[in-house]
Amino acid sequence: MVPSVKTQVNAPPPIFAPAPPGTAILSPGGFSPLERYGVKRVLVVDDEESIRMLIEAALEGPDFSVCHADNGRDALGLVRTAPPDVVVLDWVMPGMQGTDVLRELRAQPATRDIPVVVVTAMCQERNREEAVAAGAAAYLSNPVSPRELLRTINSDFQERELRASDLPAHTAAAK
Amino acid sequence: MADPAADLRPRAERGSAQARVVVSEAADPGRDESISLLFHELRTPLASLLGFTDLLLEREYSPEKRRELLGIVRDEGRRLSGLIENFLDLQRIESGRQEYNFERCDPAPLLRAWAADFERAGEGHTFSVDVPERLPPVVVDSERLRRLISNLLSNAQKYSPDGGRIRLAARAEEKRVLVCVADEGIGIAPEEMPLLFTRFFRGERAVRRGIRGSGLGLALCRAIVRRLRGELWVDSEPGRGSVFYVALPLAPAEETPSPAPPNVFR
Repeated sequence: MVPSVKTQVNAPPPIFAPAPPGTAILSPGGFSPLERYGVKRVLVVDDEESIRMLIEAALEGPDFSVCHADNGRDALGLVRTAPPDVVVLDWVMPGMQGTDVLRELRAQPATRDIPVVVVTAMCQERNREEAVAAGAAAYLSNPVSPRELLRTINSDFQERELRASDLPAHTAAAK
Repeated sequence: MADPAADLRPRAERGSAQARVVVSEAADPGRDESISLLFHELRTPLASLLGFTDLLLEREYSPEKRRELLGIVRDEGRRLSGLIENFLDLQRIESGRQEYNFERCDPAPLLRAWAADFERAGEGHTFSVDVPERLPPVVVDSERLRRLISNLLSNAQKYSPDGGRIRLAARAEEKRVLVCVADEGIGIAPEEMPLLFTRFFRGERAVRRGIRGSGLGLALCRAIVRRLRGELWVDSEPGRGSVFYVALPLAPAEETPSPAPPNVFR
């Protein structure tokens, strides 16, 4: 039997895992309650269910809250309704391709700073160059180990935190 | 969908708006692109297989979760194996390296036997067989024909994820035996029809429903049908289902053996 897909075209957007108790109020600075508690919201976009399941399993734990979409259009809808802290994006999908999703994210002021990690079976250098030129934070070719994926996502968060804390560039790089 | 067993004529001949699409010479990807697409297809199950194995080795899971993850590893391993098998079969047939065992045979008992195997394996669908006791003889490699019919039956099941009827029907015509496999599944979009039998093609509706496939099954069917000197075509309506037809030419009339020459050395 074909396994059921969690995100359907007409289904309501998946809800991120509930925030820890007492966090349901936005902080004055506009940070999301989840972010205040260090839970990173990750949107996984891949047409392959097994890859979505793998990434979800790799990110399982207290540090991440994961939701997913199986196509680019649904992913952009989810980004608008529940902005994630990072997007893990497949590069080759039916319909809207990864490059289209990335360009759309970069074109909108509200979403242009969301880091995008591309995870794909495409391993050609030209795909990597295209993704980086379009604004991908990282490009990983499958097979990617869960550890490598976690390291990439975590290092991207660390870099962003360092940048946000206004440390001199050379200090951030050294870390 | 009209009952295919009741009327094996293509939909176009029955006055339907949906024209039939016969296996065409639509271009397959070139050799380099084929290999690139194959690697792409192999990398996905390989990534799952290795990724879930890493997780199982590195993390602690409950016995139930462990079993679930091992199930995914097994499924992805099978997927990888099926992909390689289909690709190699396709290569062998198209390059002319496949060995055949052509035999004159009545396809009716073969069809019924393969249908019984399929019925035992299936679940979630109702399955019916309308194959007469006997059909006129055809000349086929029965193993290749089994592969062809099994692929069509397995597709019928796979591409009707909400269940429904699957039907296998056959009948004799003037110069051929016509076999059809019908489902009530997601169907095929008209614009995708010309590409349906090309290597690595996957319909968007199928992908969106999360139906797995390599895009090699129908390309393999096309290669087999060509080698059997038959025809393959499909009628389909999106959301209503598909009917795949296989026409096999009848075997030439058997020559009656001429009387033995008189033994002059008696």
